[in-house]
Amino acid sequence: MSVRICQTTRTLLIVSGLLLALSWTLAQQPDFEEVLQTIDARSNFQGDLSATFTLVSTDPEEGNETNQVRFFRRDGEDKFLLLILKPETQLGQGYLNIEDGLWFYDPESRQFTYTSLSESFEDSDANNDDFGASSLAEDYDVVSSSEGTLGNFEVWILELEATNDEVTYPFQKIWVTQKDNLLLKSEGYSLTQRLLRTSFFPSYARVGDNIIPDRMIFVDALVADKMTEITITEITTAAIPDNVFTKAYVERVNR
Amino acid sequence: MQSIRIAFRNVTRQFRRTLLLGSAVAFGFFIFTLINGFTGGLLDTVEGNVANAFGGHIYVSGTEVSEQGSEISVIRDTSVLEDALQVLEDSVASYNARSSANASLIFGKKEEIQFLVGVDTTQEEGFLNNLTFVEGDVEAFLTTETGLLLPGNTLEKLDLEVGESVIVKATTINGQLNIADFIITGSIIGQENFGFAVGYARIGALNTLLDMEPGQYQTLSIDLVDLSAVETATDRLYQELDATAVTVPRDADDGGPDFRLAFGLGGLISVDEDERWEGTKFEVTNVNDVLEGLNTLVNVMNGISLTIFLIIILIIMVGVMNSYRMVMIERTPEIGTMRAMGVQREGIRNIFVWEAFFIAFSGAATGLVVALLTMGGLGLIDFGPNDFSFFLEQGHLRFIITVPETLGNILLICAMSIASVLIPARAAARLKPAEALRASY
Repeated sequence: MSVRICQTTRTLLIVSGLLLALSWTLAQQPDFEEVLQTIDARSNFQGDLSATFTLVSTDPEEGNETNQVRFFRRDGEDKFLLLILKPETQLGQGYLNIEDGLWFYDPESRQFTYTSLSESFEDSDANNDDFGASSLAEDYDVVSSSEGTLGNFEVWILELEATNDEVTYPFQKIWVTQKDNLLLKSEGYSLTQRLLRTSFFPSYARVGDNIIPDRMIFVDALVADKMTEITITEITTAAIPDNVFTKAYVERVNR
Repeated sequence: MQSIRIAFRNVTRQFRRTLLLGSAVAFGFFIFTLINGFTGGLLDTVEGNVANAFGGHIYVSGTEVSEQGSEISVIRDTSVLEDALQVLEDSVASYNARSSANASLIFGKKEEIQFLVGVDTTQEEGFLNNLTFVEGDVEAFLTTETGLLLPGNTLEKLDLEVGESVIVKATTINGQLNIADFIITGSIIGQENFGFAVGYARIGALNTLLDMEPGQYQTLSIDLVDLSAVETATDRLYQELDATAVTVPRDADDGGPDFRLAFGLGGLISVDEDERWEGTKFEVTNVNDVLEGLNTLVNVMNGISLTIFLIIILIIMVGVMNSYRMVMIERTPEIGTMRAMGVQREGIRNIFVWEAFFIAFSGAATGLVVALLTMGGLGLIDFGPNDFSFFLEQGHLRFIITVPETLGNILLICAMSIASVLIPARAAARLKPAEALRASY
């Protein structure tokens, strides 16, 4: 009889211990929805953002190619404009994301055509939607989380699943620093849950109250040795005139 | 009859003059026939290529508004369309339900963009049998769920072989990235010659890649028994659909049919809230709508060639008229003799008229023969797959001239030549025999 009481007490103690450990662990984990919101809030601007992007694409078949792009973004209205500066042969081409979708302008034909946010930008590994505002919290649910390290950083590894069917990557896996919620790495997966692209964000720049990556590396998971590195310079938050985000401006600017 | 005999003798006697006038007529007729033959062949070739590439003559595409308010290309409830198709029962040769994607094919370190069409093998077996295989066969395609038929040059670029697996990357109808493995079951030729390097997959496999359910499709192509009935059939189908579903007006002035969404080209378009619709919105178009721009171009070309032809005829008329004025002066004593011997005024006039006819007819006939030879020669040249392949029939130029049109043109040039010679002919007929006999030049 006394042996049975001892066994019951011991079981209760173990279960209590496990519950305590679990609740302590849960208490240590942040609210991951808040983490996503923090990432979005850090990189999205209340006002306007202008910068120059330099894209160096490495392709095992095509060789290296460098593009330079002048970039304007107004997150409040979900608009952005990319004007190609280099190579010279593409000078005047532009991508304008406004209310009704993303438009590509070709100065040769003087025509605007719809293009897709999920399409790659100028055959690089960057997608057109990499240039838009971040909306991780709105577009994804965190379905699982774990702890890990990435280089010298303690990170949360979060698996995300899209909340709608119009985002480029239906599934993502992201590595976020535990200390300050900086996105260091992400993996984009297809609808069939196969890895399409790995992105690295090794360097960040503080712009006012925001922190944005000023160096991004996108590695193609399907074509070996294909990657694109983007460096962002000349970042300013000066107000951009409203007419910049119009087709008329894109037509006129490089005439 | 005697007038004809004398006229023929005069034509052959003054060989150099006949040759010069006849050559001018022949040149004009040659140019006109060649351009008309080219434009006729061009329209017919492109029409055939479009019908072949699009799988029919009438095209029904459907779009719906997604939960996020974007316009996406898909026909989910096919019953509405199937019911409407009852009105075309007798005039339809076949229906071809298709989905398509502008996909990236990835093999090793190589990547190629390829337009892929998903075909329903139960409906399109005849079409598949018409493909020319370099390697592989229809059977392998029909028995492999993820089979892929690719143009030979695409396989070459990717360094792929039949039987190997390739990664296909495409965006779903909602714009999400998706990939799947496909097996190359055949290398085909011929389709490059249509100007589209089209690859073919089975519609079920392509639908999975595009995040569509089995049985759904993006466009339905209708192959008609009689192409001349295309406009009537299109209107009937449109009216039937319009009575039961949301449709894009047939007369919408939007620059021709827009297959961009259905072909997986471009991005999603956000639809304003007050313009959104429930269910599927259908657009009914046909091969003529697709070729609207080309028709305009052909009409312009035909107009230019007709203008050139008329200018040449005008020059010839002036030339013939002047020549026969000279002829009349040269032949005045001869005319006097003929008149003195009893030839009536009509006889003299008829000699001139018949001479003009012989010159015009022989010139036009020569021009026609040279044009036919040129067309035959140009038609033999194999241009192979190139940027203009869509305008070629299996890599060759095609010329079409119709017998009634050609006879009409010959008649026109003869009539114009006769008209131009009437003034000197009348003047010659009115010469007084005594004065004509006395004349010396």
